[in-house]
Amino acid sequence: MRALVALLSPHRWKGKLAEAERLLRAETPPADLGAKLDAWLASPAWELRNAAVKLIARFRDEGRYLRLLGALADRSEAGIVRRNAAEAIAQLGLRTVLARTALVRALGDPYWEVRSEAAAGLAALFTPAEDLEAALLQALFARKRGHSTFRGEKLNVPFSELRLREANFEVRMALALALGHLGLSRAAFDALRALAGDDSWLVRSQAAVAIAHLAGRLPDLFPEARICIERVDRLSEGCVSYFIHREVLGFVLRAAAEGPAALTAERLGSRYLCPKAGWNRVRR
Amino acid sequence: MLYLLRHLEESFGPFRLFGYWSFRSMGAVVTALAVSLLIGPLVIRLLRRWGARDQGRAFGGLNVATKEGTPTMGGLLLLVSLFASCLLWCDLANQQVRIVLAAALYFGGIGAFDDILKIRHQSNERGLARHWKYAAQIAFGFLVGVLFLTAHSSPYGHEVAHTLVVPLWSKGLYLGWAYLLFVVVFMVLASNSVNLTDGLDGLAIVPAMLVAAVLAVFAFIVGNPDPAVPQKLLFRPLPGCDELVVFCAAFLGAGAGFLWFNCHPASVFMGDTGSLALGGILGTLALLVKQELVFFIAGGIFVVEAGSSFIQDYIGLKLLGRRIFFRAPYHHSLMHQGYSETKVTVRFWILSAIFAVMALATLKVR
Repeated sequence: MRALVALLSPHRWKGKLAEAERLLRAETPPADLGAKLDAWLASPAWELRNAAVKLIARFRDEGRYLRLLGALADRSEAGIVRRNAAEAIAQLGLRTVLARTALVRALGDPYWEVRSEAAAGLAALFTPAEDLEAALLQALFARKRGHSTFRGEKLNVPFSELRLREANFEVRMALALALGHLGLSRAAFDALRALAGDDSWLVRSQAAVAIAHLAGRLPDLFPEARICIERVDRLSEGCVSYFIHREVLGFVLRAAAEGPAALTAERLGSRYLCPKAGWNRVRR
Repeated sequence: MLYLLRHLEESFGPFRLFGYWSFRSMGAVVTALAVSLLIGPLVIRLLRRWGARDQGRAFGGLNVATKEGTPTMGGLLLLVSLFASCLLWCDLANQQVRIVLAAALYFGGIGAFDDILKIRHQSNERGLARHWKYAAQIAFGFLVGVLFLTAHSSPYGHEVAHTLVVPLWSKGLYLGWAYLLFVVVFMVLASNSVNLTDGLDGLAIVPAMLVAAVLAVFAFIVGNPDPAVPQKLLFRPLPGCDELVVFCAAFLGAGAGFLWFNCHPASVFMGDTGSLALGGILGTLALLVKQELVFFIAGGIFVVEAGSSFIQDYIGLKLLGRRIFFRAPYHHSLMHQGYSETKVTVRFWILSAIFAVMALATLKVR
């Protein structure tokens, strides 16, 4: 109903939206930013709430951090606002337990962009941890039979008994990236190996980078990781001016040839693909 | 103009050929194609020199950056070859031909104005405002509708002009003056749907050519000088429509000539000059042969593209505050999923051919 009211009266928000757009491009925050943000966060128009969420991240308004967490957790909130709330939480860079819990919970969000942003946010904010790895694997896989998830059983479920739960390729890409950053066990490697055989070349590409990234932290897995990367299907349906997938794989293999010490986050980070930037622009 | 040579049949027998639409159609295809191929490089060079270059838009696709700077406004090439061929081969005294040529000029003019604004401002976002575009399209729809429905200016009788022909149903739907409203909405939908489809090399022109071919078949049947032909297929005869076959042939030639330069990787984009003109021409053709609903079947790709944009923008983003597709129009969604441009384009061509066959099937299934 709130969305319908906002849709039927766009003229009411037009001026405020233009102002929000201006603020998003401004270098310094205006003196009354706080009052504006509070008013816009309470607006029935999701575009204004969305602008407020972006402005909180833009001007690093840590005082309204909880509002971001609230927006992310509220399933009745517009999907784009939830997505941008997840992104804003990562941009603010506060490594809190609340953020960790909210982002992990958002991995189960019904809207794919929120799941994708939550995975990327976890990768950006936190360091490898068992619970995060388990949450990512749970978001990615489900049991073939019986229970739909394998919560509680942690990582002891053999991969042969799992099926891919995540149907959206963009989220699988984000989960591969997150596992590359946060994985710390054989289970993460097995999951990435499964993603390296994905139907989408974008996911395969992302998984190859993530495997190399993981192998850089877990040298025991390096020989296996190298073979796995070499075996990634190079066929790419998307070739415009150059084969992005092949270029990424070539880079990863060259790095892998130098040994596990060369597989650092700094070196590999630029090779993760970023949906928002377009596939031919690497993640900054 | 060559049509007039048929009057000299008595002094030189073979001139009678210019009286046959079949001969003139072949001539129109060849002429439009030849003109396109001859002047194409020159037009592209001129566009490049004028600085008519595509500004690129951040769709998150694979190849946005690689397309930046390609000459745009290639619709001019399409329109010049179409007009050259029509002036040579069409009977310009025919009212239907004059209406559709006026539509081409009008929509091409709106598109050119839009393109010029974008080029001047160096931004794809700063062309003609959407509401002005709609206003111009509505004005044209209103004018054509009034022309159609007013007794002394209509090319058809009262009953025929006020009736919407429904595929698979031989009786049709008498709308009266409500048909005017339908015409306005139809013209806006037709021109915008082609405009939205024009996003990849060769994506809009081939489906447009297939729709023109389908409408040519309908024009041949309903405009056949022998009234028994349309009546046999349960259509009402529309005198004068047979001349539109020659126009459609010129359109096919001009389209093929444009595709020569627009196929991937494109040397020139049609810009709004071309896409709005294509939509305007096809919409007007469909109106003139009274096959508006067949346009939506034959141009199924245009419906999918416009529908996906509508669902994404109005139902998804405006109402629900979320995306329904990765990107819209739908071809951008496929590109986002990692499919190559060529694959998306060729698959859309295949679908267009299927839609065209489905539209032709409505000729028989009635």
